[in-house]
Amino acid sequence: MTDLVEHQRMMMAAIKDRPVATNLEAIHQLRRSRELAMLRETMLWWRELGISRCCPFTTAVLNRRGDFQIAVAAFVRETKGSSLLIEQASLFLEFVSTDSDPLVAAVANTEHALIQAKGSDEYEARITWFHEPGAVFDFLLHGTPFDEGAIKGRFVFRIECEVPGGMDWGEEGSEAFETY
Amino acid sequence: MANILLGTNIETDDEDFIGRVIGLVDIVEISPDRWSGGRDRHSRLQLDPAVSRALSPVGGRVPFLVHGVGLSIASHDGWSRDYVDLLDQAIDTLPVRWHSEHLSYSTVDGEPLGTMIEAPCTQEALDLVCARVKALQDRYGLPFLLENVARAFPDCDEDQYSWAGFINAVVKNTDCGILLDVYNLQCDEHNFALPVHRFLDEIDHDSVVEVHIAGGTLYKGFQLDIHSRRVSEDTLRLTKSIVESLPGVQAIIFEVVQEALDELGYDTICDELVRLRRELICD
Repeated sequence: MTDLVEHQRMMMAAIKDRPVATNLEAIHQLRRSRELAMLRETMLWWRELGISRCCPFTTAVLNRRGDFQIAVAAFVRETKGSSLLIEQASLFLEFVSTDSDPLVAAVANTEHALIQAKGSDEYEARITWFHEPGAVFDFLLHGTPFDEGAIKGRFVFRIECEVPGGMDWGEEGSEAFETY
Repeated sequence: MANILLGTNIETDDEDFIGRVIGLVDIVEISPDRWSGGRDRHSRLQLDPAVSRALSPVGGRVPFLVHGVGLSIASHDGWSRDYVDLLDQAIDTLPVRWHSEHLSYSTVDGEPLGTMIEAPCTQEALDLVCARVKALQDRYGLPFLLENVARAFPDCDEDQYSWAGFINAVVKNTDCGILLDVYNLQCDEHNFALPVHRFLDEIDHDSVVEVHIAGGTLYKGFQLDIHSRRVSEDTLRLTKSIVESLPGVQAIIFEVVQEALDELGYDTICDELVRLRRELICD
């Protein structure tokens, strides 16, 4: 018989699709069960809903890649997450901000910085982009298509209270900054 | 059933919704989890100031019930400190009749599962839940109810109590009340062939203080406990027959998740409250 601690730890590993070392047949049965599959699916659906509402830009760019659901599943499997929507959003953006895809990483870093700036008058951030941010924001805000190959470069995205509108961007090394 | 209060949950600060619903209910349910703001300098979670602004027109007209989602009363390693911080503030600031939580756990080792799972029906879980119920009763001096969560899994070999027997044992040991969710019972029956009548034959009718009623959806053969639809005729009929057999029921709450408000529409929710009053309250 499993005690409560063991029962709950096994359940968490099963729900989060993490490996677990056990000889208990009941646990293996649980992991193969349709109940667990449904529980995982609804749990992931709620996570996707919460994240997509709090992180619309990163969701849009991940969806463009067809990777949003994969990213959320990896986030659930590999991190503790949070039961609070806004904290979960921050953790998700931190998780995605190290993505090897420079566009996904830049958008996640920027969205994370924008959330942090919302609660502070002193928050400042500079994020390096490898695509022209204006074209990407046209896509994120209005769905305007863009050709990634045509907008490549090195840009600095600034979030500072001194900047009109709170944010702008320009080519690295240039003095000319644009805002949306 | 004329003395039973009809209510619904409010999870939005939309003044239009609150204004329309408030004239149709006798009591309002809120979940502090849905109204959490930032943390203070001690890392203590704060109720969003919008809560008091949005709910101020309600407070003068009807009382509140506080219904938690995130306490995680059956976690082996303790309940959620964040939820208790929010509950402290809600009970301090609102005229709360009683509060309630699901008989489940949603965190393990402090890590959220992203879902609620029923407490295992073992003696160890029973002792742990009872100690926490008593601690809540001592802390707030308010009646506390536990809800039959929709089960994620069928009965298992290690259970030492039936589901209803487990709830009865908590009630017997702590004198807490029962929040009976009728739709959750229907989910259990559909998903795991756990007959509603068997649960109802066993559960302590005298201790049921509140009833939840909701509508959900069928997906991949599962009846999901997402409270996102109108109440079906089946659920309404069942609720009516159950309520007639529960002498201590004080409130019936129509639950709808915030995420479903736009799809259902405010008119539908208002119509549903009128229908439920006509069918269930009959005053």
